[in-house]
Amino acid sequence: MEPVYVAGVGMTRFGVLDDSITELAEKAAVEAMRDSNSIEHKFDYVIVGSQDPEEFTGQGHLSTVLADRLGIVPAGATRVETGPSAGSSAFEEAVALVGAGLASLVLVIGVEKMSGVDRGAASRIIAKMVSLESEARYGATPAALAALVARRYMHDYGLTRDDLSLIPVKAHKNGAKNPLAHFQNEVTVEKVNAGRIVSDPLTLYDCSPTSDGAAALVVASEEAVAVLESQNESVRVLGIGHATDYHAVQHRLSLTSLRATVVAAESAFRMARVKPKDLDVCELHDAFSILELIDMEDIGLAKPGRAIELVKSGTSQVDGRIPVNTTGGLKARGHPTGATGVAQIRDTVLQLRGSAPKGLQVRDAEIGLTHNIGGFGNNMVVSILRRR
Amino acid sequence: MHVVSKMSISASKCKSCDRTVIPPRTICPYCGPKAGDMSQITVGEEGTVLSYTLSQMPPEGFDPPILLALVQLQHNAVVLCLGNPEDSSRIQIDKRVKVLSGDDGRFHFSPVEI
Repeated sequence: MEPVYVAGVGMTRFGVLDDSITELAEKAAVEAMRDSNSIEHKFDYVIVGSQDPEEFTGQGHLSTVLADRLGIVPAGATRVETGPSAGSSAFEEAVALVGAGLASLVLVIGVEKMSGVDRGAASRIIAKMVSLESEARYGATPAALAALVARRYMHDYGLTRDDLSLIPVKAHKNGAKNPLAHFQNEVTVEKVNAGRIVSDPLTLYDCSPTSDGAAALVVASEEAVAVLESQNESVRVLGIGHATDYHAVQHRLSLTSLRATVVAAESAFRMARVKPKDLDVCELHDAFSILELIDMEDIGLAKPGRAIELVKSGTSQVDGRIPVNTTGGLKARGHPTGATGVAQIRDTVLQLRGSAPKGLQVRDAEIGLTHNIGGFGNNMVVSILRRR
Repeated sequence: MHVVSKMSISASKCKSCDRTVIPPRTICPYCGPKAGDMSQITVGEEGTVLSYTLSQMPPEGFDPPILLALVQLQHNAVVLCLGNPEDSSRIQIDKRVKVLSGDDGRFHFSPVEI
């Protein structure tokens, strides 16, 4: 593969916002174009990651609409959908196009506008990604499936409620310092424990919110980076892996490990020629608190059942040896589904540039990893980036 | 409340990897078409709870709370089932339960009294 770089990044605030889906996408995209000095250059493609704009907003044909709205016609325009990993899958398409030499400048936009429908409707739309036959018909939601996983993990490894609560506490601690985060307030173990039960043992604080927001990246070839004169700000794409698991949880071979993460991470590490111990910063898909622990184990940061030790020792804090979700993760940064994977990459690029928000910068970060989940525990994309 | 009828539980078993899946299908999800069509079998109604949850916030169309359990049946086939929320205090991991196929087309479980 030809060398591929992320030359520019942009992101809106995440939260419940007034902007429309196209306004959100435009704001993030223009920021990424300005950031990479590419505003006067010709884009070969725009790749849009969005889970379900038709149902959440009524907007169809989103990729074509955005090419037009951004004034980059006749760039090729494609929308990618892999559930909530759509943003990372859009990035993967851009990396493949540039890496294969089919394009030199590609705009990637991840966007979701979820607050236009009420909470019940949003829950119904999101629940469509779980197995219709074996899960949705039973009233199972991603939260209920995460609760089944959490209870089994607690049973097998002796994880306590207080232990699990340390995950949202860390997420909110970091989110409080991230000016774009949906939630910018700290919480305590007591507050998490006393939260409204969503699906026991998970409370409201174990679950990421539904949010509005967009993030964007400019993906460029070596030659394009030189033309843009954005060498100093560019981050190299070292590796990317993508894997699925069986659709219904009942058909998976483990309840306490997500096989798709293991396979996607192995592919990404192999391609990048680095190991888990080489990572300086990670963005992991903590749609539910229990997933952050399982993700840490599945990408190789800890042995099964042992991730909580890294949390308790402060190893996964911003100033620890392997910081996880420094900008608040899905829990505090927010989870506009299609935007999340792109936001993870954007935040990692800022870490590798040394320009993360005050109090969140990891010292001398050189290699970063992002991990994005696309269904419930399914359709994972893992990306590894390196400072130039 | 609908009536739960005692219909047998249909499943499919792979001739190559021996894994059993519910509901039945033709192609083994673990082996793909190379293993040939799966064998259509039925499995017994008793199983073991792998995990469970009482969901307080199900989607539109469901009255909360709903009790859900993953139950491991004969041949290690696993199914998600609905239970009676009033039984939630009697359910725990490894508990023996009985699974029936309801006339609503879904699986329902209830604790087995010893």
